[in-house]
Amino acid sequence: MPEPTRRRLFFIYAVFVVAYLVLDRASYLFPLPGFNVTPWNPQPSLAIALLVLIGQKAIWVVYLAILAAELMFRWEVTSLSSAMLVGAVLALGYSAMATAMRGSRPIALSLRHREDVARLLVVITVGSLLTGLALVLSIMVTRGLLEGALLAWLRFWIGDTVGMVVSLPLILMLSNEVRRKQIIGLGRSREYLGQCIALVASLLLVFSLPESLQLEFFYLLFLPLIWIAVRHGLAGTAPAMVFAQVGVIFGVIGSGTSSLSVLELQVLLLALAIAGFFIAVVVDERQEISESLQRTLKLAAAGEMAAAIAHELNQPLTALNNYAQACRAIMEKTQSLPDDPLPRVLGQISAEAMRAGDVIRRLRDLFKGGRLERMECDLNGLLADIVEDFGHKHPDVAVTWQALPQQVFARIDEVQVALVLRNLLQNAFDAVSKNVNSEKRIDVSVSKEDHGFVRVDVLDSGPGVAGDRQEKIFEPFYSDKLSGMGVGLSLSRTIIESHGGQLEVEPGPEGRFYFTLPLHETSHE
Amino acid sequence: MNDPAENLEDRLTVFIVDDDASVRDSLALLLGLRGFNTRVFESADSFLAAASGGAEKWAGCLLTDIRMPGLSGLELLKLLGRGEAPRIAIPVVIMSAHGDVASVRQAFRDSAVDFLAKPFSEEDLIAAIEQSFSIDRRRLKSEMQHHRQQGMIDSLTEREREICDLMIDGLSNHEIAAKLDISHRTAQVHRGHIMQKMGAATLAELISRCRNG
Repeated sequence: MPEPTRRRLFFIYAVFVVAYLVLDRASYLFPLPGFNVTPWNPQPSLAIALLVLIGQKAIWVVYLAILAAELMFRWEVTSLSSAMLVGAVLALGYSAMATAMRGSRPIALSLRHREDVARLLVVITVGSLLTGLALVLSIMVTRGLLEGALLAWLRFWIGDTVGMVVSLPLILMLSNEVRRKQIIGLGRSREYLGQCIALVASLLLVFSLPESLQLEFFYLLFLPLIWIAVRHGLAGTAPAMVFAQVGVIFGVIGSGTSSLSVLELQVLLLALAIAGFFIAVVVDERQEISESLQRTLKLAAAGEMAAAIAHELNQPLTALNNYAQACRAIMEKTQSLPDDPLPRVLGQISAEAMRAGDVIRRLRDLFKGGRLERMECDLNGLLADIVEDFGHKHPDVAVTWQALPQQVFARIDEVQVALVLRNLLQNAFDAVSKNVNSEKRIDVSVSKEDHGFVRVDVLDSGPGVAGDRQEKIFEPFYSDKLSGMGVGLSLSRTIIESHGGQLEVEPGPEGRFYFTLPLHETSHE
Repeated sequence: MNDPAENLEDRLTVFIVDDDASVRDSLALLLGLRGFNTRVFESADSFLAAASGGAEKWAGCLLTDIRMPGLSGLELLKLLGRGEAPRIAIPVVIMSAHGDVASVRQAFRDSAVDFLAKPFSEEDLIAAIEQSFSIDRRRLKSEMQHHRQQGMIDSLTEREREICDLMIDGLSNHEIAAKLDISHRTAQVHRGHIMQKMGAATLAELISRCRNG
C-alpha cells in the first residue's frame, strides 16, 4: 500500500488507540481473578492488523494502547509496573505474530486461497499460545501467583485465538480494496440480509434455552453460517462471524450464562469460525478458477476470431492493393498530364490497404500468446530499448526512464513482456493526449521489491483511472477508448500472471500502472 | 532440344495458384501490365492437372497461396520438392494471409524462394518473382548446355568416341595408334575431328565437355 503521510499516520494511530480501548472495555467480561484473563479478546486483531499494515514502527503505539487499557480498566487490580510489563509482553507477542504474517512468504491479505487462511489460523493459534505463556509466566514471577496459572493460560489462549480468528480476517480483508468493495456490496444484498436474520434467529433460539442446553443446541448456528459461506465465500463469512461473536456475547450477558460455559461456548465458536472460513475460502477458490477459465475461453474465442478475420480480410486487401498498383501501371503506360494527381491517389490506396493489413497482423499477434518461450534476459536492457523507441516516436511527450543500477535477470518471454510494456505505454500515451494545456509526461521506472520480485512502474500525467473502473478495465472487451478493442489490459494481465507476476492499477489523480515479475536467481550480480 | 537461347525469356511465366478469384485476377492483371507472362489456377490440384499434360517446358515461377480447398500450397511445395509431381522444377514463392511462424518455417525448409504475407507491396512481389526467374534462368541455361553437349557427343562416330575415351584417359597419339592398331597419322586426323566436333581447343576443355555429357 502507498506510504501514508505523517498526518494521516497520526490519524490512523489515534483511531486505533480509541478503537482498541473501546474493544478492550467492551470485551472485559468474565475476567479470571488475579490474571485478569477474559474469554473473548478481539482487540489484539486491531493491534496485529496495525502492525501488518503500517509496519513494526507502530509497535510503540500498540504498547501505549495496551498500557492505557490496563491502567484505565484494570487499575484496581493492577499496578503501573505490572501494566507496563503486560504491555511489553503483549506488544512483543503481537509484533512477532505480525512479523510471521509479513515474513519471507507474506500472507495475502485478500485471503483468497486456502493456504493463506490456513497460515493465518496457525499464526494466530501458535502465537496466542506462546504470548499467553509469556504473559502468565511474567505475572506469576512479578506477583508470585501460582494458583490458576494453567487455567489462565488456557483462557488467554482460547480468548485471544477466538477473538483474532473471528475478527482478524475481516479487518485484513477490509484493507484490500477489492475485498472491501465485495463486502460493502454484500450489505446491499437481500439474500445476505435474510441470511443474517437467520443467524440472529438461531442465536435467539440457542440463548432462549436453559444454560445446560445451550451448548447442545449450539450447532444450530452452523446452518446459517455455512449457508453464508457457500453462497458468498469469505467476504460474506468474515462479517457474519463477527456478527455471531457479538451475538454470542450479548446472549451470554442476557441469559446470565456462567463463566465456564462462556469458555466452552467460545471453543464452539472457534470451531464454527474455522469450519466456516475453510468452506468459504474453497468457495472463493472455485469462483476464481471459474472466472479465470471464463476469461481464458473468451480470449481463446477472440483469438480464433482474429485468425479467421485475418484470413478473410487479407484476401480482399491483397486484391485491392494489386488493383491499385495495376491502375498505376496503366497510368504509366498512357500519356497523362504532368501534374495528374491520380498516381499519388492510387499510391495512397495501396498504402491504406497495407495499413489495414498491418492492423490485422497486430491484432492476430496480440492473441498469439499460446506457447511461452521463456529465456533468461536482462529486464533493464529489454525495457530500456522499448521506452527509448517509444520516446523517439512521440517527441511531444516527455518520457523518462529510470533503470536499476545493476542488471536484473528474469526468465521471461521477451516478446510477450515487451508487448505488455508497449501496451501500457500506448495506454499512457492515449491518456496524456487528452492533456491539451497541461504537461504530457510518462515516467517508467524499474525497482526491486522484496521477496525476489522486480517491479516496473508506468506513470502518466493523464486523468488516471477512477476507483470504480479499476477492476473493470482488466475485463476482456471493456474499453474506455472509442476505438479500443478492450483486449490490451486483460491480455497483458494474463501474460504477466502466467509469468508469476501481477499487473495492477493504483488509484490516483494520474495514471499509475505497474507490473511485477519474479527475478531469476543467478550469480550475475 | 533445339530451342534457341533467345526463346528463354519468353518461356518464363508466373504460375499463379490462389482460390480467391479477385486475388488471382488482380495479380494476373498487375503482373501482365508489368510485362510478365502469367497463367492462373484456382487450386493446387488444377495446377497439377495442367502440369501432367506436359510441364517439361514450364519455366519461371510458381506463386501459390497456402490455404486452399484441396491440396494446400505447402503440400504442393513439398510435392514438387520430392519430385513426385510431374517434372516441374520451377522455383516457388509462397503467399499467405496468415503468415504464422510455423508455415514460414515449413516453406523455407522445403526451399521456397520467398514468403509473402498478404497483403504485400508490389516491390516485394516483383523482387520475389525476379529472384525466382534468375534462379530458373540458371537452371534453364545449364539444362541447355547439357543438351548441347549431348548433341556434340552424339555427332561423334563410333570410332571417334572410342578414341575420345582414350584421349580422356590421357593417351598420346602414338599410344592410341599402337593400341587401336592404326597409323599415327590416322590417329592424328581423328583427334582433329573430335576436337572440332566438341568445340574444344585443349584437352582440358574436351574433358570438361565430356564429363557433363
